[in-house]
Amino acid sequence: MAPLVPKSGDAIFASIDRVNAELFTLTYGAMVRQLLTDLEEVDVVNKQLDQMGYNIGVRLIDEFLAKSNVSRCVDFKETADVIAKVGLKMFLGVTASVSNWDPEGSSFSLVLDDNPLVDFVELPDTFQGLHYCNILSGVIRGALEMVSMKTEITWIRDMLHGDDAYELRVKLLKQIPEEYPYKDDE
Amino acid sequence: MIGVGKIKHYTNLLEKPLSRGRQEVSLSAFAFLFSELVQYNQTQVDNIAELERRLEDAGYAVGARVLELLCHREKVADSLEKGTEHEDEYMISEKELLVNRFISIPKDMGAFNCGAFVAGIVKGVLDSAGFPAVVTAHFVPMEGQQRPRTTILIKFAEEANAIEACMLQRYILDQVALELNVDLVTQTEVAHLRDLEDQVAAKQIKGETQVETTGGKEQLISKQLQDPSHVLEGLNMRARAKIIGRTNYEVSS
Repeated sequence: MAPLVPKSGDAIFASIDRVNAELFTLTYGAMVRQLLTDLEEVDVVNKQLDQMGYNIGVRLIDEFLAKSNVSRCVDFKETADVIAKVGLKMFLGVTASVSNWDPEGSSFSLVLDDNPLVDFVELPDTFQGLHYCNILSGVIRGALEMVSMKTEITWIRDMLHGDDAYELRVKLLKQIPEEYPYKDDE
Repeated sequence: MIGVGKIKHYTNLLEKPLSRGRQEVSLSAFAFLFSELVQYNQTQVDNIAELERRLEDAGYAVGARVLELLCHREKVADSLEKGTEHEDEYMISEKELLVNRFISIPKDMGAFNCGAFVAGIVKGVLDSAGFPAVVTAHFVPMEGQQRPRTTILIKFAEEANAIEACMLQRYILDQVALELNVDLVTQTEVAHLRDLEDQVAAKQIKGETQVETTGGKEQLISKQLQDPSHVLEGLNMRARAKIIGRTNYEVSS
């Protein structure tokens, strides 16, 4: 099989079907609103968003790998770049930047200046603890777990709370070796 | 050097300039999001009717906001199908509705249609514009096609039946369909309207008074809308001609 050439985020984004970002933004808003009405507690909603993101992430990774032709990442640094430049571009149409690597190279910050999920959104005072885009952290966590990386993701900066950008801290907890459901010698 | 080249961040959301209908996200991102929305709602309800209701409510919220955005943008209108049974029924139909494309319905859910979400969007738009309507989504089986076509049926409430209201409803529906990336079905009535359009254009060149007579009607329409000037400003020449054509069609017949 000929070696597959990884495509750039822009090229993939141009080749796939796209929809109006506003529809996407408004649908997400409707979903968050539903969650807030049903669950009421901000922490519970945050968790639910993360869980939903996780569910999306585990399926999204398949599509990502299929469409982007990236080869196995050599190290975590490469993973970070791939997420920021290819992954986010492919699905959300925006790129992020990677920064603030810690000395061991096991955690980094993903910084987004532009985020289609939060267009037209303002948080009222009663929901100040809400991480509106928590679905993103779930998506990344779920996707990485499917490629054998267990991570922990937290929000550092959030524009809806008054900061100037969105910053996610992604920390690699451990690499899980692939386990096969059967043993060869049995 | 702090602040050089920094993007200006607005403290108040309302002061932020409206972005130019930018962008797009991938279809799969929307599909994933929508599937999670449906799955979450499934856990909250006991039966299909309630599930559709919840999706419709979610769509309603979207629709109400979509109208705000539409009023601030200029778009070329397309076409729309009119139901044959009743004067006040319209249909938007789509072979493979965006929301249904990646959803499979298990057998025990029978007649459930995720188009309820889209129906909610349309309802939201119409309600916010002041034209209350009952909007539902239906599967219409088509011969020779595996998957049924989805039709959004719009039945306007009694009070929305004035001619002026009809014109605006039509315009708004066109815009909504565009926003939803729905391909509309052309139909003989539209062909007729195109003929009228040509006639009107010809008559305008001759200097007849079609444009003036609709001036009064435009003002009437303005009163019915919450944000009148934007919608009317957004009308491009073709849409204008269509509306004028329709007025004449109604009045003369």
